[in-house]
Amino acid sequence: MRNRQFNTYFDNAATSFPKPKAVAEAISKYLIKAGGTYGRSFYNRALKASEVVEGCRDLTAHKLGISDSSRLIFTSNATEAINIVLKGLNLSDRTVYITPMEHNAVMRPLLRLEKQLHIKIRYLPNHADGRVDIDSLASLDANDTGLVVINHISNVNGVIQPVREIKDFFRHTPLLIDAAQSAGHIDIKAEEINADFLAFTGHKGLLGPTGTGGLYIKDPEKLNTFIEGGTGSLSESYEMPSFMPDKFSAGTPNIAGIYGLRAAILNKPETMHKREDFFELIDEISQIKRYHVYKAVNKNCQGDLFSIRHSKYSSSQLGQILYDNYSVETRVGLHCAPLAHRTIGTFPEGTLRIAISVYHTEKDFEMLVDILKKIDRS
Amino acid sequence: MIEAKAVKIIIFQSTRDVIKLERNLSEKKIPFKVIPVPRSVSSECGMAIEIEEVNIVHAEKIAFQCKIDLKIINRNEVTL
Repeated sequence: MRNRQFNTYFDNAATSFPKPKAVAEAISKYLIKAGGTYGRSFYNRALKASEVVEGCRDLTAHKLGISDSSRLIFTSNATEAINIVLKGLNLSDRTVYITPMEHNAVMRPLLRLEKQLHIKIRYLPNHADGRVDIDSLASLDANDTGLVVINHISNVNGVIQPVREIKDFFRHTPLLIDAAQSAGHIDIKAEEINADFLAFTGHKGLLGPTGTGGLYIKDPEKLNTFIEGGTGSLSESYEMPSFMPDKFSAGTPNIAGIYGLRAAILNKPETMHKREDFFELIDEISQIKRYHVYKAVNKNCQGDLFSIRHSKYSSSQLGQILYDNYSVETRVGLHCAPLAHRTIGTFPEGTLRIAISVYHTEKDFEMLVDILKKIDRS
Repeated sequence: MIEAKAVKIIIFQSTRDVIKLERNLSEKKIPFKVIPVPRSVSSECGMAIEIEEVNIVHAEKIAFQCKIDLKIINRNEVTL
């Protein structure tokens, strides 16, 4: 059964779809009509392109609760942003605390640094759903901690971490928030939280194109550069500029993508479902006997995604049935987050993830529940 | 014709600073022109702003309010 009126795309944690129409229009406008480089030249086309890039920087900073937009740099994605922090800090022989739900965007570079720089990776205490147990933080030894990394919303079960409380405990330690799954989904106030770094992607909750993202850096002087190259500024020098955003802006940015990201932020549609509809979706699936749902224990800590497993079908089989018979698009497996799966007890098989968007309606959720029931009965 | 000495050139540290001033000058309808950074100046970025001396005070005020680091030179002291 293929129903064209049913929004079958439930893989918005991988990349969101659809995007607002204005995103494609903006990118097309840049590529066909506007053009231009960022800085570097003086003619009107370059000026206009530069205006759009800076306008997008200001918009994104405002959206993320950052008052000084110059401290927000553009990157190709959250992974690059995370690497800039992990490799730009001096973490030799220091302890790095992480949540037990970190994505491989954090784990892989950290494990490399563990070998190269002898950093000590330690885990924050957690509840069964992977949410940090803030009542147990007091038992931790925070001495000699070089960095705390928090996966703001898990890309496996959607659990939202208590970032403010964690920062309150580690008040003198730099905090990196991986906002890949939270930016655009929940309200983020980076300065209010007192985040030192916030890494985000443009192509998930912000509904922008792939190839966009960024990093907020509270104290740029404390971070070494990751990439050096031309910035269109301080051009007579072989040194990278020390001022922001240029210090971390080597090379031509993804101007077409930034046009799209700006349009996405300016044209975010109203959410087509109520929060209660989403909770109803989770509850309904939970009640189908042979499905197990992996989600946050407390619904107030639930992001816009969760995972499921079925006692008869593997997650791959379930994913295949959903797609072949019903066109439902999901992601199965470990979601580049083996640590999270180990924490919630779904390693090594993994799960089938359901990640919604603002474009899903209550009807879409009802249809998904019906389909899952049909599969369960088959 | 405007005399060269009555024109100022503003040089910036970064593209972002150019856009901040340019945006504000446009909003306030103060005439200016974006030009290439004069080669005879040790420059920080690809764009400079040429503005009549009578309007430089507006640019300075905006620069102060927006924390823009800029350098002002006389047009007749440089060659493009």
